[in-house]
Amino acid sequence: MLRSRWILPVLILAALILRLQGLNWDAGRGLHPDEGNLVRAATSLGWGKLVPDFHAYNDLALWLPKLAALPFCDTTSEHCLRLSARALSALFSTAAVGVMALLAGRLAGRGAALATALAAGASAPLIQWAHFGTTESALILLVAALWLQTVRWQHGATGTTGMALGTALLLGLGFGLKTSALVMAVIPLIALVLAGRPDAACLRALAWAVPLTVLVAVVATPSLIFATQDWLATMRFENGVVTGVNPVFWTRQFRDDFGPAYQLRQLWGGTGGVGLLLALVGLVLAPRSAWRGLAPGLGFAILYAGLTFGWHAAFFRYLAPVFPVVLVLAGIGVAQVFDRIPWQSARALVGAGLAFMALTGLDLAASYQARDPRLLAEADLTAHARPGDVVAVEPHDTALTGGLDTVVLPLDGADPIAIATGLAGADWLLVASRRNWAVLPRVPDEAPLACGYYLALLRGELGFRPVATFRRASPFGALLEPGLGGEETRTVFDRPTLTLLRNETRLDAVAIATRITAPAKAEECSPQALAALWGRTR
Amino acid sequence: MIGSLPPDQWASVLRWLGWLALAGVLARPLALRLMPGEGGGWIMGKLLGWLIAGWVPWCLAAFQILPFDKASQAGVLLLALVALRGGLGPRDLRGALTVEAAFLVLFWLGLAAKLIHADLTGLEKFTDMGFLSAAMRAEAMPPQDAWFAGHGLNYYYVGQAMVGTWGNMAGVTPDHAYPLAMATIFALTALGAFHLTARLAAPWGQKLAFVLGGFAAILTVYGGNGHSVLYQLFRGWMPTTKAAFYYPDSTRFIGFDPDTLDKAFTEFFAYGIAAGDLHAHLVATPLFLVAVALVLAILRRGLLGQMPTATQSLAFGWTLGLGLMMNSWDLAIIGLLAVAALAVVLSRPTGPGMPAVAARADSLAAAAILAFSAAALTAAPFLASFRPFANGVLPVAFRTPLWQLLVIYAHVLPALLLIPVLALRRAQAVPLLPIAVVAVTGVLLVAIPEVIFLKDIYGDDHARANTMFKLTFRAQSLLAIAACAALAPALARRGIWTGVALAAMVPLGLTLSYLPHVYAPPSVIRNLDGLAFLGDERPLVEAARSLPLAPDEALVEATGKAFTDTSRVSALTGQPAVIGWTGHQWLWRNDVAAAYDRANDVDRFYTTTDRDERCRIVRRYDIRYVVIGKIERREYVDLDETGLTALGSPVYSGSGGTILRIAPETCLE
Repeated sequence: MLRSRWILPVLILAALILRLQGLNWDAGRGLHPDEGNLVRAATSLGWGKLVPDFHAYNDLALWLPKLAALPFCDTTSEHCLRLSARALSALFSTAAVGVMALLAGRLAGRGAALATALAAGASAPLIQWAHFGTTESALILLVAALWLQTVRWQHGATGTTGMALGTALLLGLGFGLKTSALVMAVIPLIALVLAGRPDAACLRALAWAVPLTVLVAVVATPSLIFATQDWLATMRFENGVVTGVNPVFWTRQFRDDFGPAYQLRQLWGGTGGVGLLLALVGLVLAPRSAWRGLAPGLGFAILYAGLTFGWHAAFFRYLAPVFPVVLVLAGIGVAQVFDRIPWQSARALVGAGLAFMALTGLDLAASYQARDPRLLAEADLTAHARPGDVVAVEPHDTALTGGLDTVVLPLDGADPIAIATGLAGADWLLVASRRNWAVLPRVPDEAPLACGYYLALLRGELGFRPVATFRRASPFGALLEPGLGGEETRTVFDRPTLTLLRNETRLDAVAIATRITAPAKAEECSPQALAALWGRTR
Repeated sequence: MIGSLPPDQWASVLRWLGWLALAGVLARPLALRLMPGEGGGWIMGKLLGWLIAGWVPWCLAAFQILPFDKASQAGVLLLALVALRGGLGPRDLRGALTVEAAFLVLFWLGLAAKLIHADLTGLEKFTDMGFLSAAMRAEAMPPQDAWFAGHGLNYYYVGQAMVGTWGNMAGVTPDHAYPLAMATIFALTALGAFHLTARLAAPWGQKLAFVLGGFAAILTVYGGNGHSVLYQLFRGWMPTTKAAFYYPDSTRFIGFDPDTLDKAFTEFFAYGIAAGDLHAHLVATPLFLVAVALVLAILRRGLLGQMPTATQSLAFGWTLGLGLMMNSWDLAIIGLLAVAALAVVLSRPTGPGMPAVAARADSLAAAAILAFSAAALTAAPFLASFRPFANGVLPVAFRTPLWQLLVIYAHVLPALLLIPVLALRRAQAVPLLPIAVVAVTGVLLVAIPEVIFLKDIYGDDHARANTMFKLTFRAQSLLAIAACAALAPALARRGIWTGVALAAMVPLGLTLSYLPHVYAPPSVIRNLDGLAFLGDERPLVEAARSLPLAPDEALVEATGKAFTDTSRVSALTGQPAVIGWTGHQWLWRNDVAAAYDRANDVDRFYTTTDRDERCRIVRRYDIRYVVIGKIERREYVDLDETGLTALGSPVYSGSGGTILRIAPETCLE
């Protein structure tokens, strides 16, 4: 069966289905904050406004969904552009699967191509990014495509001119999406170095390819010229965020946990652990003939990791460009074990590992068929709330309250009365994810009351009693989801766990403030301890 | 004399048996593939058919692919598709008719054993009916806990859900599915014990194997343990503190007679049938027997130098995973048996036809990985919503006095001792090894609770009660099967060995002194009805069955201690109540506060005269219906009937009491 020429197309088709199904997972409510920023900026673009005001993503990232949506829907509608961005993301991700499979096939044969297609096609992070209208899928495709092109050049399947042209286009377009794409230039550069002393054709190609890259980058990012100061200011701000100079709420989670070890843990978790192990196996067992082709990808991964793994902002999405390298190596590892290791047990182990990886992806994909838990919570809230009820929500989160009066609790403030007043006047409290409770108690200098607040709340001392918990249903549920050790954006955007609490005792603000400020031990507020309290049966 | 049933119940029974027969025939090819050369496949096909047809709909409902009731025939359909592709196996009409006839006789005897005490009350029957009826009215799995509204079941409930599949397939109500399932399990267990013993004894002749298989089957379903023999037939010689023998005494001996601080349970299958509880260990027995048969088939292949096939490994993993979901202890027990079997295969000397140890280890490791993967995959949808409630493994503080262990298990020792004796007498080792594996596993299961136990909510005096109960329940069957099979090589040797074997057979046979506590003549079969005990409350319970409760809404009824008649409406209908038996919920959720907070709320709900407080409780649990029956009036002396009736309007009113409906908006103002 494995010899059938239809297997690879079938695997890629399956990858496409896993990515395209459930794209409207938030029922048009725009619950992914980064995607929301991108889509809002894209919506404002038009003939009268060719250069955006928003530069966290470069211009092409905003224009692409806009242009792709033109034949299908009203491009001034956020919903239209959101779906367009997600569809593009899904298509880029599927294309990346195909490119990775071709790359692995070129490096280590058909078995490696099939294993890579399976590992990448059912990779949970790739499927998740495919459902977000952001740039991770495109960056993964760019890395894979650049690497494939480089290997083809090494193998003589493409000429130097084609290589230079392709590289210039890919790097320039990549810059149009995200500035950090420039680091991908290291892939062809390593190949060039490995090729030895460059001949005249190479030097000529370099001479025109570098300016062409710059030209494409500028065309794809006109903000560079027409909004230079704004663009630079954004880059400086973003640099401050990733290095920890600019404190923002969304990097608080990394206060005492970031760095190479943290990112390696995330990479481990993102590949179900097995992927990273299989990649190591691939590295060890890769055929000698593949090393020259592997080097550009590996070199890129090492350089990229060296540049980013030390960042204070250790977001999981920053790992996206490393995934093609890990998945291709994993595919090669699987194929090599089956080809070269005579032990049945090793084959069974590798097969089971690959199946586990695929299972995590299938589970995640299936979860997009379920209704978003924020919508479920909203429906439950509106079904039970009386007219005029007030809902307290947590800051910096995406709670949906169905049009009820809403008060945001200043949990990262130092005024107990402010929190208590909000609570005392609320009939309901909707905790929309772990964003606050798993982070704020760990930063007592920024949120001095958070520990006491959550302990009192979860012990039932504030008069609020949990009435329902909402999660995105999937076949294997919490078994395969990233736990508290996983970076929060792996769950809070699309798979948060929400708790709806009802104010049963109706304490006054003074009583609540007294209980919030009661002495609390820090160890009682660890994310694990609070998670155990949240998980208590009611 | 042979019993009878009303016509509509005959139809139910025939539908039930018809589906079973079909599933058995369709599963036979799979049985032959998994256990080639192990008989005609009819018995294992029957057991596999029962399990697969029950499990597939659960799976579909757990993945929310199909509603549970709509999926009820999916398992049989799957078996049919597999059979369509691979055929039905070799023709063997005689084998089919023999096994089917044996099954029908055993089924009828099992039905009689259940219906002699038909009432679905007492011991764990409310628990089991709660699982079964909740599963049968559920669309997705896990079903809503009838005793903890708003939450799914958090126990190994899958066996009862599988019974629910059969109930749905045959179109019977949960209270009728209950006795039919008990009868089926009785018959399948007898057939399974027969099969295992006959296969173990087969090397010494088919006829002998059949006789010993039949003997083992009877011992398994009707036999007691050594205590049943000594404390009934030789009571005058035994140091008892009790006035007379009562059939549970054989399961409540250690720590009970004499009374000590270390109480432990030593239940066995026949007691389970006599008690009539459709509890996890009983429901999972057919699965356990299939797993043992599969391990022994793998072992026999291994002894010939052939390693497990991928299909065998995956199927074994499936039994492990399913065991975890039906009766979690079986995972460890089946695993222990498999480890013993693999150790034997690995320990055999290399020679012609027997691969090198490294090659065997490699193949067996591959098989173990496949099995573990299949087990994990099988159990994953269950584990996704299950929160373990055990508190770790601890060393025991007490051990059973040796004399008490001998009282319970000495009846198997003479037969089991034949194994080493025959081995020393240069009997062929290879056929003896599978018997030894079963025997050693049985002995280990008896020994383990003397060393460690799984900590649950029970106090020091019952600390290892559950561990010993679950492990020795399986040990008793394994030891009886091994003991019966061990007689074969001795009987086959003839001469003095025949006398030795017959002498060893005597204590085994004497355990049938327990038979009068289990056996019931078929003439007691008159009606499947198990709800007669409700008396004039029956219409109230039946009315509650059809109350239209929305998801997360609850009814409220009197809660109380375990094994009482409280919480009967939810248990018998599967409709979710605020809280059922409080102690059970404490155990299942390992959260004493959660259970007792609800119980206190229910007590306050019925007795408070404060409307606001009552409304607060209504809102807290989304209470839509209030049961005021005999039990509520008895349990709540201060029942505030006026306040309760002011809250809603009656949707049922009759001799048993009243059911009130609270409109959603009632407590919102």
